Amino acid sequence: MNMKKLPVFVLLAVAAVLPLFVKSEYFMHICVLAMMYIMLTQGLNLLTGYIGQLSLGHQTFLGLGGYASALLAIKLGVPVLLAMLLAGLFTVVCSFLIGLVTFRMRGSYFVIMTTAFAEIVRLVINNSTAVTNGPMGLREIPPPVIFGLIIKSKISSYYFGLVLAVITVFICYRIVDSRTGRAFVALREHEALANSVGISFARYSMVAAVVGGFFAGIAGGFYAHYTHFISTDVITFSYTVTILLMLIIGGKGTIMGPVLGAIIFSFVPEALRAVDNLRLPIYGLILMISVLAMPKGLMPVLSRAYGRIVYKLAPGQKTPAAKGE
Amino acid sequence: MAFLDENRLLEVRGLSKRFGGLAAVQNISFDLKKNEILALIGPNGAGKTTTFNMIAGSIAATSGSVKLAGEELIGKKPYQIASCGLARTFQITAVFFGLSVFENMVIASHRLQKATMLDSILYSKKYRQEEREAREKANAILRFVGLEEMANVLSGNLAYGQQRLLEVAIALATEPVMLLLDEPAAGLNPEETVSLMRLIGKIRDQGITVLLVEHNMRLVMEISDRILVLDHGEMIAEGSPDEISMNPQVIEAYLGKGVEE
Repeated sequence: MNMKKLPVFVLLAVAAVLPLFVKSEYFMHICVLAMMYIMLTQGLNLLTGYIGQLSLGHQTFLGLGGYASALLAIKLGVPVLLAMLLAGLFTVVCSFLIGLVTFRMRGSYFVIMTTAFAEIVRLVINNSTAVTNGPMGLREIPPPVIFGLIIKSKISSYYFGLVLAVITVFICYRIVDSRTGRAFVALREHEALANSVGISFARYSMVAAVVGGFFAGIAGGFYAHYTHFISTDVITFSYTVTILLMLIIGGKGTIMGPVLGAIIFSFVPEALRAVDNLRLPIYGLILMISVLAMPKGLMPVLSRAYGRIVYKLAPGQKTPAAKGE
Repeated sequence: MAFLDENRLLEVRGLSKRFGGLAAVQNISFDLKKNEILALIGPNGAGKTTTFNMIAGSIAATSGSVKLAGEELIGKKPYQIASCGLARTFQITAVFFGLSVFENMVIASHRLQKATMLDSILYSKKYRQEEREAREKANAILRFVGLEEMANVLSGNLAYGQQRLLEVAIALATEPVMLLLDEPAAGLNPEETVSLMRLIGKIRDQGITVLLVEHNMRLVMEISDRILVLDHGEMIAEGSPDEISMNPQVIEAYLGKGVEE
């Protein structure tokens, strides 16, 4: 087997058998949420990690997807899986339209625009009481049903989420490992040079936004049907901070980095529950320290360490080159 | 294009640029034959770089027309112009500094690859074949410019002269019909300049037409088939290197004492 991919398969295997060893419902709940975060950070990673444009509005698509899927299921009786897919397509359209405006900007202007859009969407949802039930949120959202099987328990939700997360990571990995992914990186590294070899910023930033929007929409649907409840709380700024932490500390511009970040930062808040008031200051400290100690995130550090181990055990083996380094 | 006049691979007509009240480039017209090396020279502020950037699409022309193989370039964006087969280098060295030399090269195959995202998600035959071709071509071009040893080096760690070569290699990897070089010899030592001259000759032998803006007169005189002289935004002379070096107007405007030496 390819040594480079071995850790990914090990991680996958651990994820697959995890429920056999974990008896705590609460722990499983965190694991389910981690799956949602993986879907969310993968999409953001395309735009922010690979193209290098910081979006502070990504969780908006989580909210939009969650609302769309929930409303389709509650008001129109659409089967949940179909509702989730339609919600994904809805967020694709939304991210396309928002992208048409925001991708005229770069850098800090782009950041401000995305923040503004997130806030606009939150306010619109909060004030469209007739449809969205306003700040009260939507309740009693039905669970997904797959081949007659109701996905309601923690364990079945976990496996459902795992499948969605693995598909998301796989598709993002395949996109990044192609001319599309190279175009992303080219735009991040040197936009004028990227243009001169035929790469358009407008086109590829839109591709990243639309793909990311799709997965965020699916993640939103997954979240809404899992918790049976959605409100505009998911579009608040603290969610933005959380997914950015996952992305930056995990290692933006790598595929596995945000996955690790998502897993770690799904559990960190729980570990800090005893000192809840200090949670945000501690987040800040963690961010500062990790950015100073490992500016490219956890992934390149782990990747190098793993490369050394492989090299020691089998000097002839091809060591894993840290992708995106 | 049914018919391509090889004498007019590039047709520039009445190209002008005004920056507010300043006429940076005024009514420039010239043709480029296929396989020709044409140098654009002139004193600082003559409008060379502005002309260059208008052709490459990075500055919008005020008026005029630029046609490559009959296709109008004015009004197109730089990435569209690249897709027409026109490649360029930059005055200030531009490579993807954070990536390896080889990764730089593979990126540059972009416009030639047709595999869709679905192809790469499904790992289709088309995708695999194009990836293999891109890697092979990257290696071939690195050999062509003499950077094959450096393939795995981070391009930001290359020596300056090697970065200039990589820049040319990136442009070549787009398989252009025409190459625009913006002061390729700037900052190179005499030895590197000589090998650059050889390289430009080799590029022309591959059937690629070259337009260059350059200050290094030795390079210009030695490799150009034709020279165009700009001064104060206007074309003051056009001709072979010999004709240009004899032209009194040019000597006055630009070469000055340098030629009398």
